[in-house]
Amino acid sequence: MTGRGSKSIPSLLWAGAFVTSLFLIVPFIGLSQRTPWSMFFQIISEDDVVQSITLSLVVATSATIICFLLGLPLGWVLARSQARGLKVIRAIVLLPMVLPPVAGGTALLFALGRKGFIGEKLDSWLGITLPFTTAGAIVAATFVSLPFFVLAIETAASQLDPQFEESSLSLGATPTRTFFTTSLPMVKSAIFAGIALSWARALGEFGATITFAGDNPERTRTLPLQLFVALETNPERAVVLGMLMVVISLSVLVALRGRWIGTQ
Amino acid sequence: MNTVQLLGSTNLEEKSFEFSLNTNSNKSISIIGPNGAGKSTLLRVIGGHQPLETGTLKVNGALVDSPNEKIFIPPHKRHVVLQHQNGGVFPHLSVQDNIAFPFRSRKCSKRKARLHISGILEEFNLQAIQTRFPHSLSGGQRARVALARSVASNPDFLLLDEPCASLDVEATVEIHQHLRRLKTTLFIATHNPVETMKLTNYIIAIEQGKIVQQGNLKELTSKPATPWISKFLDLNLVSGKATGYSVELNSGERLHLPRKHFGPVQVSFPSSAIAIHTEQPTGSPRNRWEATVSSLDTDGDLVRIGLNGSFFSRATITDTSFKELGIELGTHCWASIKATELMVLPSMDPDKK
Repeated sequence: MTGRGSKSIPSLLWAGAFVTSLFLIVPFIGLSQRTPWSMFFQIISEDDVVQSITLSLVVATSATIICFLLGLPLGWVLARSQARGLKVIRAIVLLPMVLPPVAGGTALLFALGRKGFIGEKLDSWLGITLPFTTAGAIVAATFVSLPFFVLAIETAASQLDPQFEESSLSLGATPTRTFFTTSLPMVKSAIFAGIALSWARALGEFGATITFAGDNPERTRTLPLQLFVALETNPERAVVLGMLMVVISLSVLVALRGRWIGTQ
Repeated sequence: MNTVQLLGSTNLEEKSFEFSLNTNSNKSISIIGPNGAGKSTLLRVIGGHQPLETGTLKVNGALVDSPNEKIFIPPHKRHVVLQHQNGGVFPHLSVQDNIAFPFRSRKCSKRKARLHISGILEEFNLQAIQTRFPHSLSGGQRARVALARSVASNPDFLLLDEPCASLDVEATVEIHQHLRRLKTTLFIATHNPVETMKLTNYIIAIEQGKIVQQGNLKELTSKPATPWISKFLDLNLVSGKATGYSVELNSGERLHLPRKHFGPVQVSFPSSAIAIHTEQPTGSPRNRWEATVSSLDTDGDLVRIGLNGSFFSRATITDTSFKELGIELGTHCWASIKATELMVLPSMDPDKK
């Protein structure tokens, strides 16, 4: 980091790096400056805020579990299969990463909403409606965080040295056993990284949630939605909620860094 | 008796490979050839990690790969273990769990597997490090773990891809010692002529995706099919006991060494370094011995000569000097070699002590 190696970096790049860092840091300085620290704990322990925090944790954690179950097979197949059509699938998987969440939410609404072509059948056949329910918020959060998990798994699976899986097969383990005793343990750190990333993304989800699941104070008003509502009515509260999300996200990043440096 | 019969072709990364071989009853087979010739690919075909595109592969008489008949027995159902160049020791498992892996794969309980492996841990001298993880082991220790794990699988065939390529001399000698004791049939892909001569009795030579020659060492050294083979096997190998600057060969002959060595050693020297004289030589080369010409093979401008003395050796001389010497089968002559041409390797083979 320091010492002789850094001499090869032109000063122009140092200047650019400094400006960029400043640009990223300034908003947080602004936020912490406006945060009424004395009222911080009082505000975050108010009933509806606690409810939002709980709801956010439930939604983000459920979405992450679904990402794990759905994303693991897909990421693995994308990494390993040469089948045709997978390129198209990969592009579609990545779409929610670059698509404005509000557009994703609209798409979900017209597919799974009450009048959507699948949502209609869910409603009439099974009596399930997603909009304005916590399940709907979980669907929206899953939709936007899935690409992060799939990508993490795909990268890890394609970088895994095939000699270990071949050794396992050679030593008599079936392909299924090889997957569980050799492949999965060897991509453990990528799985943790994928879990942390998709959890963080799900926690911050706003656009798709409000479009698809709507704003229901008990069932769908997660922390970002609560923050949005507070911006209109109670700016002080909005600042505290913003700061709270910074703290949570930062902890996730720190935990993630430890993982990445730790076992690989 | 273990046999492999293969007649087939496969493609890998836009290269095509054609293999035709029959190992008969040989117990230890080496696969030699230049880099990228297809040594590993041949091992992968036999192990089931690279399917054939045409032809058939029979292991112990049973058809295991035949695209025409839609037969392909997957690797985990073949009694064949492929050990990769780096050993493929699982980094997330301890030494004992690595070695227990083949037992666990066959639905053995953890407790029973521990029981099975205790003998193997002892055989490979791994008891002291059995709870350690691969990243904390030396290259030699990891190689022992890899071999012990392959042996634990009790295969009919053990396919080794350059088992000693990244090991130092001591570790190589140790692995060779273990390999000589194994009862399973070995296929060893190797870059090391000493390994070929010491460990195997049948040689398959591959060049550019095709098997160019197969047979025992004598057949390949007396009539090498290609210049590469002749260059690779251009080596004499004798064992003895070193005492400082000289070595007493098992045959009783003494050779002078370029450096000090002690204890059991193996001495190798290229056949092209041997000079042949019809009269007792005098002068600089200090190593000389009497011999009789036991075989003569011409190969273009070169002549390969088998020399029967107190030990057998092979010499390669030019056609011109062959004519000047005027030797023929049965001629009594003298062979000499400079001490600096001798390569000395420590040996721990108990049968050679």
